[in-house]
Amino acid sequence: MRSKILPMQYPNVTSWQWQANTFAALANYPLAKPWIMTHFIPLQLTLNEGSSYVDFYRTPTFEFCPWLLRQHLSRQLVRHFNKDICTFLMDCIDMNNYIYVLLDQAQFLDFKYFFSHDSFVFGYDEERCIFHIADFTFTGKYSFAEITFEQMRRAYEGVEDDGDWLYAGKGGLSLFQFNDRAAYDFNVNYVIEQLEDFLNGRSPSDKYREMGYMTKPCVWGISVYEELIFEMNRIRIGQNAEDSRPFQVIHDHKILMLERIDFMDQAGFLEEGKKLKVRYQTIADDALMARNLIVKYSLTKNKDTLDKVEVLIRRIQVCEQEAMEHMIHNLSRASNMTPTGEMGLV
Amino acid sequence: MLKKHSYVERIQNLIHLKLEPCDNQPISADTLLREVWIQMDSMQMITFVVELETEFGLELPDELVGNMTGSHLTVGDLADLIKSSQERV
Repeated sequence: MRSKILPMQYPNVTSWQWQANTFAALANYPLAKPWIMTHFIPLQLTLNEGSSYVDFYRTPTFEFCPWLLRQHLSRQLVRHFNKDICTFLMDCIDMNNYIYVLLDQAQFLDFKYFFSHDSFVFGYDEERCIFHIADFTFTGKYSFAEITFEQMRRAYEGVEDDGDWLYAGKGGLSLFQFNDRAAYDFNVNYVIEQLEDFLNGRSPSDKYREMGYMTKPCVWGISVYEELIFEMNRIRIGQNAEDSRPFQVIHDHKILMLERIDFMDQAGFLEEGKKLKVRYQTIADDALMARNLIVKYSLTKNKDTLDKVEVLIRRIQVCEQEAMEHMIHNLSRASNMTPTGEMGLV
Repeated sequence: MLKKHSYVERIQNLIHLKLEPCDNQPISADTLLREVWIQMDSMQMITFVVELETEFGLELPDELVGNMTGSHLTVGDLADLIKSSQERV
């Protein structure tokens, strides 16, 4: 009887499953830290009908992360070579692959009807006949759980080939393993560029067209806050339902910014890292409060709460603009780069 | 008008109802709220604040659903706050 659990840590970014899963795996590989600290600065808000979707650019992370070796397999291919999905998944894990796959979670959650959701498989125990998987759906917050082999079989086979909407509707499953042949040094010039783009509300896809993908209209960087204020009004008049997830992303963005400040401070890129950290901690606290107040609104429907959230968004916008301008100015001294945008002229 | 310890007792009871039996630590007026909050996930914590507001018919400061890591507020402080708020009504 065999068993194996691939390294997973509770991630500091939990906004979306594709981010949380990637961060949970990468947290075990300190070599990936300079890459993480160089990225996750751009924010995008996509104007979907009925909701505003906020995420880091670019997403999903695992598709362009140099530290993750990715192999994608269609469901037809998996079926062609493997009679039993459980044996296939165990073999993949034995070969150090995490598996990102769409499952019918109604087979193991308390759902009456079909409920497909992306799931992250990271271990198994053949003797106990269980897989270890991660998702938000077990408890409502990101968590690790076990499902039986039988549940896995039914959950995987419960999704039809043409009903697999993962990977922009192409479907299939992705295998990831840590790529220990990758190399990535922290890129301070790229960080400065992204900070300037954030303040100018510019899309990073203008520079990196190969990273672009089909999406509904978006706003970027600092403009995300302006759009979230409009969103508060749409919620107020009942046009859109309240959603705490954009604020969870904003909060995660600040948590990563705090981590980045520490990282850059220790690496000697920031002269006033401690002061910047205090400023960013206030912004992170405001983002947390905004998220929690939206959750509170969902319970009370007291519209005064939305006014408070709006005040917090405006404060985050002003404070982050000041803090980022200060950061760009500070970083430019340590890099070989002159700030290009007017935001850099502090 | 209720005495402060009555408010503390009512808050204690609500906390004990909220937390799993195995998590139950003795809650006193000196217990820091952040020590109670840390035993709940964020959804439980926000729901609990709303339940307190409903129970006592008032709106509590937003601070209670914010980052409480550095907060020195105790169960006793919360009881005082509720008591004085109700006395004003």
